[in-house]
Amino acid sequence: MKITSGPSSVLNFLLKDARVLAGALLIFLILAMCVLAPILSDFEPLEISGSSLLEPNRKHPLGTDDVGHDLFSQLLFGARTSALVGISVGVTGVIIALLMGGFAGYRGGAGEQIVMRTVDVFLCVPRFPILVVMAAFLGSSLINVVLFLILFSWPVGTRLVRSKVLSLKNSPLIEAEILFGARGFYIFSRHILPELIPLLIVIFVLDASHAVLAEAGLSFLGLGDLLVVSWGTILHYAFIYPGIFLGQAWLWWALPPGAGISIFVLGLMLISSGLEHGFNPKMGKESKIVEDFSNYV
Amino acid sequence: MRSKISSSPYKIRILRGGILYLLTFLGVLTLNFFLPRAMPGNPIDALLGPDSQISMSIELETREKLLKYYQLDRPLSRQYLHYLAQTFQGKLGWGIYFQQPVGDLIKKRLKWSVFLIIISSLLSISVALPLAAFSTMSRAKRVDTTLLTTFLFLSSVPVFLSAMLFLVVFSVKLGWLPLAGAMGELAGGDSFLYKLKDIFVHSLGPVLVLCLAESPALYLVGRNSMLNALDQPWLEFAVLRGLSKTRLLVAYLIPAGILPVITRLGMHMAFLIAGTVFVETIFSYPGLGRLLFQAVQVRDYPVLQGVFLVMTIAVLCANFLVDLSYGYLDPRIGERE
Amino acid sequence: MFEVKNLEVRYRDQIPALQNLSFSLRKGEAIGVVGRSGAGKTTLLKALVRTLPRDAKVNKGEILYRDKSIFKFSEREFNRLRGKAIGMLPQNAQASLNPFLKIRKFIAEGSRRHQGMGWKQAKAEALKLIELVGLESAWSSAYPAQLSGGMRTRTVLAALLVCGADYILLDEPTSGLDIIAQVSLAELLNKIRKIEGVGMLIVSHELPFVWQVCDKIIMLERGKVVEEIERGHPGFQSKLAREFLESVPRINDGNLK
Repeated sequence: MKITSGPSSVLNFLLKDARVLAGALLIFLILAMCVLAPILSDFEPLEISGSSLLEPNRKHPLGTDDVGHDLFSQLLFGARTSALVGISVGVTGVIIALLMGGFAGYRGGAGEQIVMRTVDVFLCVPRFPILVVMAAFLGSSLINVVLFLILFSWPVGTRLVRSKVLSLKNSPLIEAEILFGARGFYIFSRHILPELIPLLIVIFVLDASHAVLAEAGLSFLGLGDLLVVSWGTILHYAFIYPGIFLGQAWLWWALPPGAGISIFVLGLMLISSGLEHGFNPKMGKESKIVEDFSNYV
Repeated sequence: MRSKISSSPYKIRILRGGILYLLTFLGVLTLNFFLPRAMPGNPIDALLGPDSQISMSIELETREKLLKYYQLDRPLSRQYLHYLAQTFQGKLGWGIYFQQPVGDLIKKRLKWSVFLIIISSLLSISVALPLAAFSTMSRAKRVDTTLLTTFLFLSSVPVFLSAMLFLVVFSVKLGWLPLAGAMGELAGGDSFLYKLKDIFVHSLGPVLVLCLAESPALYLVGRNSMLNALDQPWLEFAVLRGLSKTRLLVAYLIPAGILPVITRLGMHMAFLIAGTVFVETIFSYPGLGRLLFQAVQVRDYPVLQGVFLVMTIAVLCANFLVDLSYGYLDPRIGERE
Repeated sequence: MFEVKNLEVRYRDQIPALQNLSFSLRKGEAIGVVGRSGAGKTTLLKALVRTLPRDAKVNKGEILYRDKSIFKFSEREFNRLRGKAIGMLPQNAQASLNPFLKIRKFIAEGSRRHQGMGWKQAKAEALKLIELVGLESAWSSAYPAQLSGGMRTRTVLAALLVCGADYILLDEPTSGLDIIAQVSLAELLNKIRKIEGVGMLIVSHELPFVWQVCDKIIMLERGKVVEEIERGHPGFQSKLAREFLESVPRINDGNLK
């Protein structure tokens, strides 16, 4: 086994992991849908382009919904919404987590207490019901939804970053550095920050997948942005349509967006799981005792 | 003696937790108070606004009731105190669409949701723990990997999707399970056993779907803690004494997994409650979650607020119970005599 | 009886942990194993109970139990021997207690497994052993978290003894024990040896303790036997042994005969 160091070898190692590859493939698929949406679809998603509830045919690969929208283009453009929500919440969540968690863990003191108690309070509240209530009262435009999602995802990441920073801060290396006179910010950027990167990626995946699911959930309940096509809203209209399950219509109406959500989330989780495995090879190692004794079943 | 008890770290943690939950509850109450007032214009107009689907004749009556509840003619601080007093008496407002006190509505539906959550929690633990133990002890790495991948996959399927699929397959296509409700209408005068079976059959769908959604996380936690237990010296010593595999499973692995699993379940209460919203909606199950959905559809704001409050209380209670159970279930947190 | 013949154990096919090691252990005999850290003492014990880590391999040599190579047993068969024929007190004894069990039940596991007793009988037997190792019976319903280090070691010893092994391996049994506890442990071991005729292999740094129990001492260095002396022998001969001896702080000189 070659022992190299540095980010390039890490990337190298990661790309060989089956889980990360599979996850990346799924995400790539979703992103492809986002980018190629206008090219691949013949109709505008919110344009009435056919009669209602057509079965899949050449003009409409996934048929039409009850009003006459082309479901295929709805699927493709819906990917954009989910990706947008996922990425924006994920990135913002990571940034806030880094700033707040880093500050809390590194500086400590009163600031840390304020931040962490706030985090505790936020984490106590049931996330989805409060999203529902806020969206219902304060408006459910896409911007609003994204803001609400960010509001409730930053605590998770912050807590994770802070505990990691605390453990890193107390490592002997850092103590030695301090003895040598290195200043605060230097230590942070040179030593702590690189160690945080795996965690930050995990936080991104966590926040993004929760955001996608929450947005889909809200839209499913009718609390999404009704002017924007989202996988959740497609499901909402599908479900509201009476007798949706009694025919075949649900197969091309409800299933594709549902599958889309699953694939997106699955992709993110595979990447995160693969990363965790890659950065922590100790997991899964078993001592010989166990291997031997498990022989005798 | 007393000072010793009150300074024990366990009690301190419980106290801190209790204060936190109380504060959170107050925060949520306050949020609930401000939300209708944060809507553009007069809360009552907003609540009865263009989204409202109530006919004109009821509107006057409802207006009066709402006025009484929101006390808009009084200063804000008075409104707040009135709101707090009302809430603690269980008077959560008047449902605009449902034309009932919110509290009554909730009381009727609460029991079904509680039923679902309890049963699916128990089921999830009974599924996740043994599988995690099996995964840990199994020599064939493939079994472990397969289970792990399956659960990973399952955990990414959104609850509403699996609920819909379940409904379609089992209720529509196969006709094995009923399409809606918690009990059949005909169950009125029949025997207790029939009622029991009826309730069981109606709840199968929601319970199984919730269990499907929750088990992966519990399995992962259980498996992780059991794998950790494998590295522990006390497990090695058990092997050195030649104890049987069954004994290792029952007295060494499973106890290592139980506490983290139960803790994780408690932490997931919010997730389960959110799950009931979707599951009850899709299965037309008359619980609190479905009530939330219906309230959103018709924009019955007082009901929304009431349900939200009750859900928050439930989650906070669950968290508190988990904190308490730590001290009882974990003999490692002992106090030296 | 246990016979070790020309045993060689290597880690990752490179680092030799034991080289050409030979000795034998009879019932009722007590042998001490001393040496510097990393000399291979723990490896030897682990080899005897077949709990070597995955990356350690037995390259050459044999370990015979009653003239049969222990490596020829299947895992299932050998596990039957563990506890009943040969038992080991691990180095980290204090951490070897199941934190979820009261110690009476923990000890009773052994009787249940190896003497086929029911729980009631096994627990009664456990009580006897709790007293044998010098713990008050009131502690029998305590959890490990409530016991001190020395008490935990005794509990682990009781749990081991209850299995009724003919041969016992002890890895640094004196760690964490004060002098008085060490002396009572030595007395206990002697008692067991005399009454039950148990064969013992004791790894320790504490020479005075070792001499209180053992008839013979083997000194290991880098996996090889450097010297073997019997009790009654005037002292270590080799230079290495002498250095080792000199560097061990002596508390009670009287037993070093």
